Amino acid sequence: MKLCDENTIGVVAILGSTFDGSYEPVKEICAALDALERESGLDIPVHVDGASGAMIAPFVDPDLEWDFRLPRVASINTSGHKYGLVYPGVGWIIWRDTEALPDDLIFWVNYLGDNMPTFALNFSRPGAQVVAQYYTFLRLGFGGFRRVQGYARDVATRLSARIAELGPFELLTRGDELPVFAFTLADGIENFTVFDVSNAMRERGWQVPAYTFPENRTDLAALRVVVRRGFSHDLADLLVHDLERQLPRLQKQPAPVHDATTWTAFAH
Amino acid sequence: MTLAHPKTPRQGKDELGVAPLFSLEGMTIPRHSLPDGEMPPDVAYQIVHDELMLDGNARLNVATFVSTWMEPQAEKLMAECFDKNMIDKDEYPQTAELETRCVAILSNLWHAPNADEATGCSTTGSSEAAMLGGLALKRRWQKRRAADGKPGSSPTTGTSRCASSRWRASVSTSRPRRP
Repeated sequence: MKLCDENTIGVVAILGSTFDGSYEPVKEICAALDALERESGLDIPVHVDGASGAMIAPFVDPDLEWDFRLPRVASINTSGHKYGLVYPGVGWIIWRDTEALPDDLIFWVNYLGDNMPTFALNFSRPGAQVVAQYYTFLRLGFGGFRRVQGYARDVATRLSARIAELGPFELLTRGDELPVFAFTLADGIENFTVFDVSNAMRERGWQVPAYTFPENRTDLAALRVVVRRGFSHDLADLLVHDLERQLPRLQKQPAPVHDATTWTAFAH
Repeated sequence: MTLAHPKTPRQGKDELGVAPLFSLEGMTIPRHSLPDGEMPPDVAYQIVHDELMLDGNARLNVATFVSTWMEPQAEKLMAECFDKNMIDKDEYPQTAELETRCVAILSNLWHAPNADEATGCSTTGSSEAAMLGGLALKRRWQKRRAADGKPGSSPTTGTSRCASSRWRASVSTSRPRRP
């Protein structure tokens, strides 16, 4: 809040973090901005980057207030091709009302004799993804989305609990917000790194990314698992089994082989 | 997108081996320039298909957030629409209508106060969507500043540490500030 001033066009709240799957407290951020407005008169709108969470929270956390129920939320974006359950590339941006999208940003295209409003950074792209999004909405409905996302969260929380039981790992999150969790090595493990674990899992074809956290916590290196549609309890069991099989060899190695500097950067 | 750049080493020799497909051992085609002539579609398909077998197996990838499975019926619909250009709203009015319905569905789902006046659009992904959200915030702020007779030249946004790289990408829109 202390970084907000008259030049702040808006505050971005993230639902949820791609690093560990946790939700940011959108309601609390809005409340803090309400207090700021009472003190200073500054009226700062909020944009929610709901790339993943905007298609999870409505179905499995319906009581969590993070959306347009909060008057300060001006716009929300999500990714149709993440938990919107469509192949890449489709995203969505929704404004609270027509007031929140200034008219002079809308581009009126006189196309083949008709005048159409558009707002985009690019122009031509196939209609397939939008059609597939509509199909998915029709096909699943609210109940279907609740079932699919609820199952993903069941798989994520059970898998994180099983990984915690293996011993050498410490959970940073449990997968009980986004069905995504991060874990690191328990204190005292010096002879292998999370990067070694990621490398060992690749031998069986698993891609489990290892990465360091952003500024202020770059000392923390972790592994992350994203559970999404198609990743079943069975696959989760296979992953745990393979992790279990790799551990004796890692525990016997004399010194770390990979660290953040010998590892291909992972960005999502 | 992968940016082809001289600093990135090219994969492999200049020639792409066609063998052992269809008993064409010994035949090669250029890897980095157009072949001189045509080839049968089945051969071209097999060459591309076989090379892509080296990509990872999406089912074993717990790194990505992106959907890697859809029902065959959805795939069929997508194949039927690959040739429809979203921007040709006059030529493909029903595709445009389905986009409008999706915007209304999301406005309702996210409790917009008046979903009958749902305002929004599809994009290529959430990064473009986030940038459009940022542009709207910036324009509203500039209008407020102009109304107050103040300069609108140094906008900033507030984000947390875990903000994705898209908010750095939109730095030309406004300068991100993080605690």
